[in-house]
Amino acid sequence: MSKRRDPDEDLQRLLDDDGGEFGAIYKRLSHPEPPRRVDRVVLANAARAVRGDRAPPAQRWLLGLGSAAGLVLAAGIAWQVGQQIDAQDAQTGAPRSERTVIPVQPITESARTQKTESVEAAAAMADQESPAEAASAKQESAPPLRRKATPAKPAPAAVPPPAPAAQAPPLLEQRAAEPEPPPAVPAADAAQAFPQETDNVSSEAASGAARERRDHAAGKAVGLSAPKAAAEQSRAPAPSSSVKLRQNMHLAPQDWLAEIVRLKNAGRRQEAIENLRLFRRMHPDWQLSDELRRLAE
Amino acid sequence: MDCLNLAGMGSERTDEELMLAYAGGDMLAFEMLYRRHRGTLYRFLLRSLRQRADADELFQETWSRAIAARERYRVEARFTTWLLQIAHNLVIDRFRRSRPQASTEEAEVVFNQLDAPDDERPDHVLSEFEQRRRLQIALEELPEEQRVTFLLRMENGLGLEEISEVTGVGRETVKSRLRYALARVRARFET
Repeated sequence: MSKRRDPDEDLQRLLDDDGGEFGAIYKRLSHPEPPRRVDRVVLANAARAVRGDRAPPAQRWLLGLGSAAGLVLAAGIAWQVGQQIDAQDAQTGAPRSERTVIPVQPITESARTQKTESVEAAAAMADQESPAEAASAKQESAPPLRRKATPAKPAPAAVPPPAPAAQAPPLLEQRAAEPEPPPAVPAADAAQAFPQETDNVSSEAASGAARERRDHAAGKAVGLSAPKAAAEQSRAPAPSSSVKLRQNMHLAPQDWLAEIVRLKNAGRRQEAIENLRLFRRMHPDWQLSDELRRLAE
Repeated sequence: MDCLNLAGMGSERTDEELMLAYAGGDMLAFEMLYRRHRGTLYRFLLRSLRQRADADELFQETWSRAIAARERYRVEARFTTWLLQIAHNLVIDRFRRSRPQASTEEAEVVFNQLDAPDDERPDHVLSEFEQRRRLQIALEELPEEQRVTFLLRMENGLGLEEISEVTGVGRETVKSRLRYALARVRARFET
């Protein structure tokens, strides 16, 4: 005997707390559980998610710390380098200002120095001839105030005083401002470059000491040490600061000596001395007369 | 696993409290929550999908989504319902990708043929092993929607309203699915 079951009744029994007849069977089914590896993965994901929420503040803090550490490191390196430089200065005994090689324009310096010296010599000579002209020449060639302060500096050649604007060509001013130090140019070339100036100072009687100062300054200007500068000076051509002097260099020895005597007799003693000094350099073996030897001494 | 050995710890706290605690960074709360629901969720997935690999995958995915959405969780929703909603959506997506569902007409035929004598009740006629085996087979043969609905009731103990909330269908639809599922299971027992 069978009867048709009521679906609603079955459903009601299923919805009972015990789940009805099938609920009891279902409870006796196996109870599979997730594998351990899946448990580990899930829990690791959960932990990582929680850590990930808290990580950003720590990372921001680390970023700030790293930046500060970098700044401290950079400052430390800069300080250390400064200390090393000071130690080098102390060893060499050179003031810090000498480390800085400021490019100079030797042409300008040479010409300016020569002009100054020659004008001074001309003024000295003019004292004998015309005091008024000498005063005028001194006034014209009076160095600027900055030049007076220059000798007080430890490295006067490092920062050469600017030539008077009225005398220095604008191009030279520009070149003097350029950072690249040009090579030393012989004074003869300088004279060639500025014939106007050198012609005016044909009576140049620059003293040896003044020339040495100039040469020394030129040596420093190109960043040479004292021995190097001396070596350079010895290799440099004989001083010749005027076209006239250069012209005399090309004379035959006898003629040049005759010219020197003529200059001396004409009262241009300094010019004669300059010529004679140059002559002795070019002809060291030439026997001078007693008169010229006294002049040279 | 350590969390699984934390028997009794946190038992006084509700699922919702544990979930909020975890959202606030309490990993221990999550471990307790996981321990409570890992078995039932896994069996729901395994019996719905019938493939252990699929169950493993969706089990992991369900928890991953719960973890990712922890800050959006609100106490208004029961945690069990919320978790099963996630799992159910994943299961339905998997069904849709795998194969076409069995039509409800097939279930209707089975339902109409269901005539069983009182003395042939399954728990009386078949051995216990056979009863479990037949229920297992019946569950596997159920159409997916009915099987899921049936499992939500049997495995997770949800009522009609909760099943309706999880599956997103009306209460009457849930009842209908349960009726058809019952008829099919019974048919398996009476053949």
